[in-house]
Amino acid sequence: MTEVKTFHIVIAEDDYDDADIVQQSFESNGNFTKIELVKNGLELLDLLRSCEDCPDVILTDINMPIMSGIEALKEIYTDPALKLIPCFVYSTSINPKYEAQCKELGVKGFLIKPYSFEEFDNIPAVIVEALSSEQ
Amino acid sequence: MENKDAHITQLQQEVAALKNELYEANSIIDAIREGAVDALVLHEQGKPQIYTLESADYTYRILIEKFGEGALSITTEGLILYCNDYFSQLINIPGEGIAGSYLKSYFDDQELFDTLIKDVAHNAVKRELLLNIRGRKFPVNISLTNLAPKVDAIGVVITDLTEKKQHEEALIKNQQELEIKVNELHATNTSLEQFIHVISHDLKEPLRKILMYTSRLDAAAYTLENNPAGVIRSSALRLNSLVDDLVKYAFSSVKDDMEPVDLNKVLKEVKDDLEISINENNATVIIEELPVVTGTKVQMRQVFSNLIANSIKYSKKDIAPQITIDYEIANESDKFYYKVNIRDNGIGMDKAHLNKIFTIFQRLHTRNEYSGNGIGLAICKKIMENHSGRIEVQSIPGNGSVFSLFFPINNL
Repeated sequence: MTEVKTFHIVIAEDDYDDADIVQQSFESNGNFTKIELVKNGLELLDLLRSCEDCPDVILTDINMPIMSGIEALKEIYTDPALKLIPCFVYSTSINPKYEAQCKELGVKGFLIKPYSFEEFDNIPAVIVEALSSEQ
Repeated sequence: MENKDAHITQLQQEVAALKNELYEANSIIDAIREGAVDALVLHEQGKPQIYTLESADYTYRILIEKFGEGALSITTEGLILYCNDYFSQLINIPGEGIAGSYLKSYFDDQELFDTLIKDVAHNAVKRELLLNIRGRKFPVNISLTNLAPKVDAIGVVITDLTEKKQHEEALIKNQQELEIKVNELHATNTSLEQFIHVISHDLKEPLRKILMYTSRLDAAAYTLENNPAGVIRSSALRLNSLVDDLVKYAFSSVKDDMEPVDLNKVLKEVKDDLEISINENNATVIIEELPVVTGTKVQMRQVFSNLIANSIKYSKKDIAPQITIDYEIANESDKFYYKVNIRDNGIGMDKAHLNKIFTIFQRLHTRNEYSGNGIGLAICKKIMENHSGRIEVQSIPGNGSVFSLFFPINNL
């Protein structure tokens, strides 16, 4: 019971600054043993479809070049091999349409990109909590 | 002699019998003539035979004569035997000039007409053709029926399609214009969504970074009053909230697909979303039974969320906010609306300001009194216009406000 569940996460993030910060946040959290970074939706799909040691949770930005997070999520949720992986979305955009779209697709959480370093550190905790309450 | 007498007697008897038959026949004819019977059916050798007077034929003749469509009989070669008034008026030639001419001579494609006459030997024929009367062409529907073997002729009914065609053409033209407009609307919507996308993401992204990284500036060199990082930060925050509100405002103009939206569910979600603010302000939100309206769920959430948040924000300092949401059916010049009322016990507004509050960036208070950008109610107005409805407000200063949302009821 006291065993700490650990996760392998893949993060899709095109912004280098944010990628650095979010990676540090996940590293310092302690529940994530492996953190992989990709730069857009297409790289995310490629990784998910070719991995041997596959991530068990996904965090994706929405606005990314080549393939957006929402496009990638649409693919993931229609792929029987991938659709059971829990997905989280974070975005700067507050366009209510994105949130509605993501909820409809079935994402486990829709987060607004933080405005401070402290809040970035909360993201891993929010994800761990959502994943634990599922089980 | 005796023989001769017997012969006369026999003849007299025959005459009497014939007189009797004549009398019977006459009285039947009289009966038909007076309308006491329509026709007489006699069974001769097991087969029924129908006898009528010419008066009965006459009815049919009048019917054809006054028929609201062209009616003709033609020979199997297409020679016109008879045509009614309607046909004669249709082609603007007196009846006497028509009988004896060939029907095909009035059609634009005479060869096609020949094949129709051939076809009618096997089947009844119906199709659209062009009449060509001295160069004036107009569409008709022609229906041919072979009257053989009873009569060696063809019955023809001709319907003028000019008006119908004109209506059809007008309809197609309107349809095309409508499609162009719809396409334009889609294009506008798409560019609007792209614009929203740009401001919602591309404009916010650098702002977010400014906010994040100013917190790392070394502020120690400055006093609290002249700390430039603080000013940068508060300005960036303000700009960011303006961008957020502008996105919401622009988004409220996007016409999404309309579908039935259960306001009871929407309000439950909105109440959950605002839970923290409701609890912090010790507010009571009472939601009565609400209707299902035609709309977009995201925008409905936005409207109610804005209005409830407003009611909480503009509450009296020492009285806990109480907000009641209910509805009634309003009838205005034979149009029916669901009128959803959001009532509060807040500070209310002066009558002079009521029409200003729905204008974008219009504020009734300084930023120090109440925060905000003055966009919330403008968004509500936009969304209600999107839903072919409207928003109204009634208020007494110091006595609370009632915002009313009107949703048209389409099936009442």
